[in-house]
Parts: sequence; structure tokens; C-alpha cells
Amino acid sequence: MDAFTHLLAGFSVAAQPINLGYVFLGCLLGTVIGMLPGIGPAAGIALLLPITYGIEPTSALIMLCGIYYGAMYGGSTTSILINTPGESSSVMTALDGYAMARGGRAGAALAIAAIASFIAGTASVVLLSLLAIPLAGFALKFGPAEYFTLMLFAMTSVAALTGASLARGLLAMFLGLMLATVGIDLQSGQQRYTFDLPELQDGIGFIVVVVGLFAIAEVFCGLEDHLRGRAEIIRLSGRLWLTRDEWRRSRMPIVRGTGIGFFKGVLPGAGATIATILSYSIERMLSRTPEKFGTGMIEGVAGPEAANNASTGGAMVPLLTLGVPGSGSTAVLLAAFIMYGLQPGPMLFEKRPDLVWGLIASMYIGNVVLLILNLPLVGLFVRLLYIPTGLLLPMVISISAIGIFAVNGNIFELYLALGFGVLGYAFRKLAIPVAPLVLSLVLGGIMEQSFRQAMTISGADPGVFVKSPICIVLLLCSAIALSVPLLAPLFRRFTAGRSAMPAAR
Amino acid sequence: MPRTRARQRVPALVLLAGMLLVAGGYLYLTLALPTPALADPLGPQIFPMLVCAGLFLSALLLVVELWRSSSATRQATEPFDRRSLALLAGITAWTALYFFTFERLGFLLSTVVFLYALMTVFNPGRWGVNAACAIGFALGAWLLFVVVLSVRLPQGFLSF
Repeated sequence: MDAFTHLLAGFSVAAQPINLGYVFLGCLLGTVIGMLPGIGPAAGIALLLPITYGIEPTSALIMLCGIYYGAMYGGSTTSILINTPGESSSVMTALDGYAMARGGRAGAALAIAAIASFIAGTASVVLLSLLAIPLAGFALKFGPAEYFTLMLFAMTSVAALTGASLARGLLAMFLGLMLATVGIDLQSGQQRYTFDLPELQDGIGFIVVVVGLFAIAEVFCGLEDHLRGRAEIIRLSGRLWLTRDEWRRSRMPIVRGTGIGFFKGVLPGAGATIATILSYSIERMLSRTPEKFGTGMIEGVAGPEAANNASTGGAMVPLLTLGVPGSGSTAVLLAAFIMYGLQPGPMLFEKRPDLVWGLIASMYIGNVVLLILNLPLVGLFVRLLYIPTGLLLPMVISISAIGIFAVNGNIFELYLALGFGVLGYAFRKLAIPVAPLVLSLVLGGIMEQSFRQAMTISGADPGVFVKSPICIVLLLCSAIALSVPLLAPLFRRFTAGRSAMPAAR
Repeated sequence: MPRTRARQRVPALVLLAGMLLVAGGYLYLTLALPTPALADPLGPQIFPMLVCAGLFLSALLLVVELWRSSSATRQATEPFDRRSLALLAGITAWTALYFFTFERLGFLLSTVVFLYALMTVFNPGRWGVNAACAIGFALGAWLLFVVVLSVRLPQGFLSF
């Protein structure tokens, strides 16, 4: 009931004409960002941060969140029409979505993607509204040691579950932590790793890193792909709606995808991506014709799309209640909160309920806006795909330059972003995930402060990190997350061996 | 076959060398940090030391992965080819030059030149479209960011 009262108050904030305008603008920009190659949700939020400087924080965050979940919606269109997923979480949609488009059912694939996204997105916001107060109340029990172990869990999960190799994930995580230590140490006032450069005294700005690693690196990769030739774009033809049979087949995959997506979104790690893979695998397993998956089965679009968008609502749960993001995109959102002088977590629910509940309420409205943008207006957005990449990608570099220069008016940061662009390109080539680096860069400063506060309180006794049950559970969760990539091949070998045994008999 | 496997391992070995170099350099800089007299009991080095340990641990784990030569490690590694590296070097140099002239020539002029040259390379044979896009984008961005949103962008020698 308490949540309902807060939500009503939130709607009074979100429904103000100015905020409705920002919800619409955020969703529109997010949809465009999701469709365009070169800018994903993380870079999109980082690049558009400068335009929100003069805006009131609630409105600015409403718009930035709109960009986040709008980009998740928009990603499905490129998967379906050009077989090029903008995000790893849209890969599964491409398998059957592109096949449907090739079979003349592009309209149906886009329609089910939009409907599944709407249902899952709305359901996940309902669950977020219900879970927010209990979780925020629980988070009040957290001290510095608990926060340190919580951040450790978030980082190790993302490092372990993103990408193909644990070593690479951990490398990215520790590089992010290393970059977070650059600048003046807040507790001692000591300069660290600044090489006497005044530009580094305040540390390395997350916008510089995110824009470099995501946007500029994506331009390098995109231009390389451009020279190798481009995927065929399927023309959008026919009705943008489903047949009765297609809707009947899609209902349960949407329900199951929503559950999987929300649950995986709440947990840190490669939430959306793993959720879509799980959803696709389950739908294939439950299907009477699993062999047809990959040839244009609507269940293969409905389930993963629902899982993808439910995970965005799920990811907002730890971000808003605990102040801990679980992915690269939500890490950038956290950085945006911090930039406005707001620290997400239980205290924000007490100090700024208007902001938190206004933001949650705006997500209900945003899902409706996205349904409108992605169903009747999808034909307009699809035209963006016909812009030659040779024209589009160079513009992304210029937008990146504007976004970075607008923050501090510092040319040094442009060179730094270019360096991170080259690093991001190398990361892609060497299969090193970028998300753990961004997450640990954003959380690194708070993590170090929590660590040193806990150690100071305990008189430098490291036992403080195993004294409370919360710390022990979180450390165990971190250990489990780290052991998953090590144990998964053994488990696969074991199950393969067991399934091969009856055949041998 | 063994030669192919060895070639596939080269990027991972380069990565390992890079990891050790970064971790070693960071450790050296951390050890060189002075400890202020009025710091907290642990000082500003303690957290970076833990990060150093983590970096070396990651390198050790990579060695184990390489030794086990897990298929995931090998398949995930996309080799660099000369053409890609040349392209990367070219775009990086051109972008660095763009950033160098960003303040000196101003946003408008530097952006038009930067975009037009890149568009000519990657969208060849359509000089009219490329010129219109380069000029249109620079003017549009100026209007949106500077005039509408009051974002500060360099004017260079064009003062208006």
C-alpha cells in the first residue's frame, strides 16, 4: 500500500508537462540510439549528459532513463532487419527475427518485439515498484564493510559472467579499479598517478572513458566492417501486425521471458544477455518443433525480447535501492546520479522520494511512449538504417568530441578519449569485455572509501569483512560467481558424457 | 595445425605481456607513493596494492587459460590483420589532428574538414552529398548545442 501511495505521488511528478516532454525525448533519442550503429545505451547516456546540465535533476534523470530503456527497445529493429544486433542482448532476437524478415514477416517480427518489450517492460516496472521499499529498507543495515563486499560481488559477477574468459573479465575489472585510483586521494589529499598533470588531479572522467571505449571504439570497428561490406537491409513490407495464431504462440514465451529477464536483471552480471539466451533455450526446449528454431519462429523473438526488456526494470532495482549497478549501462546511469550530487540507495528514498518515485512512474509512461514509437512509427525509424555508415560513423566521432568538450572544455580529455577508443578497439579484438572496466571505474572510488572506512573502524583488522552475515553471504556469492566460468566446462563435459552413455549402450 | 594454434596464441601472449607491463608499472608507481604523516592507518597505497595483486592474479589466470588452451580463449581471440591496423592508425591520426585543430580552428571549420575527408574515404564518389552532410552536420550541431542548449564549443578564429 505504501508503494502504491508513493507511486501515485511519483505520477504527479512524472505527469507534469515538462517531465512528459523529457520522457518522450528520452524514449525518442533512446530508440534512435538503439538503431544507429556506433552508439549503444552506455555511450548514448554519456554523450547526452552535457545537454542535461541546465535541466532540473529529476527531469534530467527521467530523460536519461528513457534513453536507457529506449535503446534496449530500438536494438531489436537492427537485429530483425539487418541481422546486426547493436547490443549483445539483441543477438538472440536476430536468430529468428532476421529469418522472419527474410520470409516476408518483418512486420510481424517488429510488432511482436514491440509488444513483448512493452508487456515485459511494464511488468518489470510493477515488480520494481513492489520491491523498491523492502529492499531499500534492507539496505539501511549496510555499513562500509557490507558496501565493500556488495560492490565486490557486483564487480566480480560482471567480470566473471561477461565474455568468454575469466582472466580477461578480471583484467578489465582491475584496470577499471586502477583508473579509479588516479587523482587526489580524498582521505589523505595525496596525488596519485597524476604525473604532475593538472588535468588528472580530479581523476579520469567516466564520460571520457565511456565515450572512448564504447562510441569511438565502435566507430573504429564499424568503419572496418564497412570496408568489408555491409549486411543486406530487409525492406519493411506488409502489415505491421500479428496473425491470431502468432499471438497465441507468443503469449507464454512473453510471460516466461519476463520472469527470467527480471530475475537476471536484478542480479549483477551479464543480466540481459544471459536472460535472452536462457529464454531462447527454454522456448526451444518447450517447443514441439525445436528443429524449426532459427528459421523464423515467432517464439524465438517474443521470449528473448521480453527477457531483454524485463531485465532493464530488474537492473534498476539494485541501482535505486542499493546504489550498485549491475552492468555498464547502469554504471553510467549511476555516474549521472552522482554528477547531480545524488547517491542512489536507501537514503535517496528518504531524502528525495519525489525523484525516485517520479523516475519509477516515468518508466510506466515511457513504456507506453515506446510502444507508440515502435509500432505505428517504426517505418519512420527504419529509414535511419538506410543512412550510409560512411556518413554516419564519422559524425559519431564529432558528437563524441562535443560531448566530452562540453564537460570541462578540455582538449586533453579529447586525446584521452581517443586513447580509450584505441584501447576499446583492442579490447574487442582480444575478446576483453568492456562492461567490467566501466563498472569498476564508476564504483572504484566508493569501493575504496568503503574499504578504508571499514578498516579504520576495525583498527586495520581485515576480519571486519567476515563479521556480519550479510558480508559472508556476499563474499560467498562472489566466490560462486567467480567459480561459474571455471566449473561450467566441467559441468558441460559431465552432462555430455551422461547423455552419450545411453547411446553407447 | 600446431603452427595455426601457435599463431592463434600470439594475441593472447601479447595481451599477457601487456598485462604484466601494466601491473609492473602500476606496482612501481604505487611503491613510489609517499605516505603522508596524517593519513588514515592504512595510507593511500593499500587499495592500489590490492589492485596490483588482482592484476597479477589475472595475468596468472591467463597463463593457466593459455596452458589449458581452452577453446573459448582461442576462438574468442580475433587476430589483428595488417589492413585493420593500418586503418586504425590512419583514423586515429586523422582524429588526433581533428582534436589538435578543434580549439585552434574552431569547431565549425575543423569539423567540416574532418568529416568531409573521412566521408570522402568511406563514402566515395559522392562528393556533393558528403560536402552537404559535413557542412550540414557542423552547422546543425552548432545551432543545437551552442545556440539552443548553450553548450560551450570553441569558436577558433571565426568570431560570431
